[in-house]
Amino acid sequence: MSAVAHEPRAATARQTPRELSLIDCDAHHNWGGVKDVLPYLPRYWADYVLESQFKALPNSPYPKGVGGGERVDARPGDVGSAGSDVDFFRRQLLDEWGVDVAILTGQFYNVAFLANAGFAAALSSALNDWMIETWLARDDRFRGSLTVPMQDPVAAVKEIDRLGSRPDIVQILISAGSRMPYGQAFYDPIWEACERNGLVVGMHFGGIGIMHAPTSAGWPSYYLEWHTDMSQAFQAQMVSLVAEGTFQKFPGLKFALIEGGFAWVPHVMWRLDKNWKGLRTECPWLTRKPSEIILDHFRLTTQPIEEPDNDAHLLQVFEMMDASRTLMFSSDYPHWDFDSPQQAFPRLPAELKRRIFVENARELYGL
Amino acid sequence: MTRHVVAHVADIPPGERLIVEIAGRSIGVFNVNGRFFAVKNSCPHQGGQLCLGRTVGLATAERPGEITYTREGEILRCPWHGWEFDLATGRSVFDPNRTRVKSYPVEVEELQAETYPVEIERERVVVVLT
Ligand code: FES
Repeated sequence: MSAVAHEPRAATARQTPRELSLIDCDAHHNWGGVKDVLPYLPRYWADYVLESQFKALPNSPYPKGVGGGERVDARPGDVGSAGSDVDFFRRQLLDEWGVDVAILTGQFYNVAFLANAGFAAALSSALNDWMIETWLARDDRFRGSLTVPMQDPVAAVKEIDRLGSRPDIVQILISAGSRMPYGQAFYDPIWEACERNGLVVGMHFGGIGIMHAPTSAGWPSYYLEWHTDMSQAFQAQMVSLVAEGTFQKFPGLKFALIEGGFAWVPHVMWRLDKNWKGLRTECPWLTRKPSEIILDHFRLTTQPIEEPDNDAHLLQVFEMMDASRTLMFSSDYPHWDFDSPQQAFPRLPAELKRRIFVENARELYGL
Repeated sequence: MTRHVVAHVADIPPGERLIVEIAGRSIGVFNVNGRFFAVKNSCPHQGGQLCLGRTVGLATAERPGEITYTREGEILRCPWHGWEFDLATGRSVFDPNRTRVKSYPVEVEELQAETYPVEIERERVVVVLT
């Protein structure tokens, strides 16, 4: 195992206040393959990888119908998978677009769907140490998201406590798909640890493996459908977390919903408020409107931006969901559905633009 | 202010209600453990006949999962979409300040002038329309 220093690092440029103009809340670094993390695995698990010829985390049954899911111009050289070369990544995302802070989101939350929870825990730690050494240490514009084994809350809490107080770690990253809705008490120790360590819970598009169909209707046929339907999982998680009283238990807890869309938020707020009025007795701990809890505890990222034919409709949705408080820019670099910070949005009022591109993320992540 | 005798006390035993028509208004008169309350028989939500709803207790929770159930019989739940109203005040449980049903004062008065030599009710229920 490598000797990564786990103490919070001394004050560096990270703590120096500076004028920020663009924060990207979803930037996917990648490994070049499991070989990259072998040096960070305990010997038993490194040998397990070699013996079993484990190659990849559980993945969706949907071949990604565009560029294999990647921006084709984002592959370093001819080989390498997009996002796997630090220098290329810095040039093509941070320098080209003037990103001041990029929240690294990897592609590793599917460790939660490995059947072997011990392996998931070991792999999570290795991925985190690898990220700290080979990414976060290379550029102070990076912030890290912890990979955690959600199938084993005890191990997940251990990992959060091991690294969660580092100033360059700002959240854990989990997928919208899950074995059971996140409001259920099984997950409470994880939320408690996040709150205690001042970490956001980033919930990202995805979730495959030992889990349910991604829609209540069953398994759709195409990536096109899966990608569109994904907002259903986000909605179910949001409703679960509110209904179960997670934020009464952990009042400091905040979720960033990443790549799940956002135009559905008004619907969920309205429907939940309406149902709460008649069904409140099931969850009498809900003593204020669910929509107020949502606005206080959830933030959402922009990509893939909704693209109605009429720009005014998008601005109306922004108003309905109080985007000046809730919405944060994300690019999803280097994936095929990347959003350009300069081209993806209609003209926005200056103040709203600043909230979306900087302030909401700065406040959430304490940047 | 007008006073309307609507029933003898014995006509509305504890836990029961009587829906009466007063000055063209449908009003439910409820006996909650010996105390009488009257509310308009129309829900402020979508106009369901509120007074046909069940009377229930009040569920509250200090913390998720720790439910206490008090004031049994004092909450009227709309038969349509389940909104709850405090019979004593007409205020809804979910938004007591802004969502209410009209409630009316109810008095119980002694009968004084009855002289018939038969057994009669001694008290009657009066709804006050304001
Ligand atoms: S009409 Fe009474 S709750 Fe809807």
